[in-house]
Amino acid sequence: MTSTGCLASCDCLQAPRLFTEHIQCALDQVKGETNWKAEIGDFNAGIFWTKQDSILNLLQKEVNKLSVSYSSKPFPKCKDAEKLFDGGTKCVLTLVSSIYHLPLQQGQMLFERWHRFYEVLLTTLLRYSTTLLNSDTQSIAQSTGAIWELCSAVNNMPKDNKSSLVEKQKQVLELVNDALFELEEAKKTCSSESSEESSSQYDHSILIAGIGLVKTAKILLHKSLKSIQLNGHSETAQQVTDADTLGDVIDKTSETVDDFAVSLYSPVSVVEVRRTFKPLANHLSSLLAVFRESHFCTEQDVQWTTLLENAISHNDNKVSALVT
Amino acid sequence: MVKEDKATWKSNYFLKLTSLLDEYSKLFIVNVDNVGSKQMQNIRADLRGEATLLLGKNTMMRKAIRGHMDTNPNLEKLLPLIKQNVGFVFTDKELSETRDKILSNKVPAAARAGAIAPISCTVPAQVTPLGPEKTSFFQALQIPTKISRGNIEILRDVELIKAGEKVGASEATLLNMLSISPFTYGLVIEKIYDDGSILDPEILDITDDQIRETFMKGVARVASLSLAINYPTVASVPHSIVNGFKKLLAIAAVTDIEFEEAKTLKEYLADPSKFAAAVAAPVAAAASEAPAAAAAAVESESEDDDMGFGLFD
Repeated sequence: MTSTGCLASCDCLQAPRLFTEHIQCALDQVKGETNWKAEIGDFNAGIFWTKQDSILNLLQKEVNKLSVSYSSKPFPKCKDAEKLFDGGTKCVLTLVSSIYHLPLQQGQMLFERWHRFYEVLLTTLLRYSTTLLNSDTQSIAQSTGAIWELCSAVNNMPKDNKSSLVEKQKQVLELVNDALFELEEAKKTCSSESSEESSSQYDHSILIAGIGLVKTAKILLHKSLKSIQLNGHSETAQQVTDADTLGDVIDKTSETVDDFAVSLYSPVSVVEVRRTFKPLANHLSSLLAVFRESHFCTEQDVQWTTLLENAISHNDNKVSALVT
Repeated sequence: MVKEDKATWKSNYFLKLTSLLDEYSKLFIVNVDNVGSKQMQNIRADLRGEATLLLGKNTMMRKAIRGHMDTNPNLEKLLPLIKQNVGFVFTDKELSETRDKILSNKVPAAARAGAIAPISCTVPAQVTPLGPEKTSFFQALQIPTKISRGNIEILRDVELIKAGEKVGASEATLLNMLSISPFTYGLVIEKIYDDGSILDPEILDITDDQIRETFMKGVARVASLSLAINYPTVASVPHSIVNGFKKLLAIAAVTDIEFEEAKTLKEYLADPSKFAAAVAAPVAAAASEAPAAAAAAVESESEDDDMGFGLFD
């Protein structure tokens, strides 16, 4: 059963078309906007997040109304359809206007995280509105579910810059951990091969040295994450900037580790190892430096940061000796 | 020679992954834990023509995707999902259909020591083919047994492994001795990527009824709020009417005012035995229906028992 037939036959296409157009407009606006507010003097985070919660709840309800109305016959009459889509449109407009009330002063990372979310939400909503007009009930149900999922994911999203950093770092740590696991697995395979060929023995020694560097990256992320969770705040401008600066560096960690890891798999490409190990070592050093200069680092962190500084240098030299 | 092959394989892998990402806008991220190579081969064969399965090192998959993000920035959403033992199933077919096909390929597997049990496993009471020399296994696992005609007999059902727990060495050995393969393994769908959106697989099973149920919860909230603040809405009016009617009945009950809908209530109040009789009647009917049903069942059973003997009289 499709809803297209009825909508077309009862000449009620104006309201859904407008709804889709409004969503498209909102999406273009959010994507294309460059003039976001840097500061809002009386910004109240508590009120802002409560409002967001209400808007998203309302959006979910409007979507439910539309889905219930268009998933089975009889479909709403033109006047009712207009009211239904009007409710949805108002909700989308409220959502877009609320986006403008999150100022950049709350943190670039937090801002980007939420903007990515709004873009995904509006894209999903756009797809939902087209599904509503053109698809079967199962597709409508799936599209509705996608919006539910997004709206309920909001509860776990960061509401300040420190939480954004923690979220990002946890994600990066998981990926670095995963890369390390794969290298350890590769080491096992390489061990069995290395007894047969001398070139494999060479590969094996590079791999072991490389694992040392990746392990250092993992420990650095792990230890700094603990300190961020313990000492981090998002109250002053400096604290917000600290999180942004560290977040920028952490963002590139997984990529740098993966580039290096890929070069280590058998057969080891010495050229690639040479190209990738130094950027990783430099990256870890700058991550450590940025962390040390932030408010996240306290006296209690001096010991492990010094230890890791030495570990970076040691593993860097070890790989360097093998490939240069 | 082998070295060159591997190097070529590495570079070809990137090309293959990026061309699949260009070709398909939908993919399943599947966990391949405990799936052996033979089973994987069968899954590939089953999916042929409908979907393409691609496995590989996570670091390589992530590198290939990062390299392709200029062409398709939405692919960034896949990166955090590429961890542990995962692969991609690309498809351009209906997601639900491909999902069913992916999940249909499961093979029974023996319990392995150290593996996490996907389901609980109960060993049923039975006479085993094992001789008395194996009693120590059962004792170690505190399974009550006796020797019956030279074989070990398990006296009652025993839950040997709980879902989510690690399988112990003794449990695994015992199940293997009893030729019990308690688990089934296959691809497990973790997430769905659909043209830039990441979805949970549960979304494919959402029904109209679930949407309606959620909608009705909203209606109930609107009705409660409207009633609480005395602001009539379409949702609250039926409740207001029922509440008003209850009040009218209450007034009728304590006054001489009469109207059609209050008649029965007044009759019951005047003569409570009528109410008792009215309540008792359906109960009696239900009670009398039960033996009749039982008799019918017995009759049907006896008819079944007859099984043809009468047919050849």
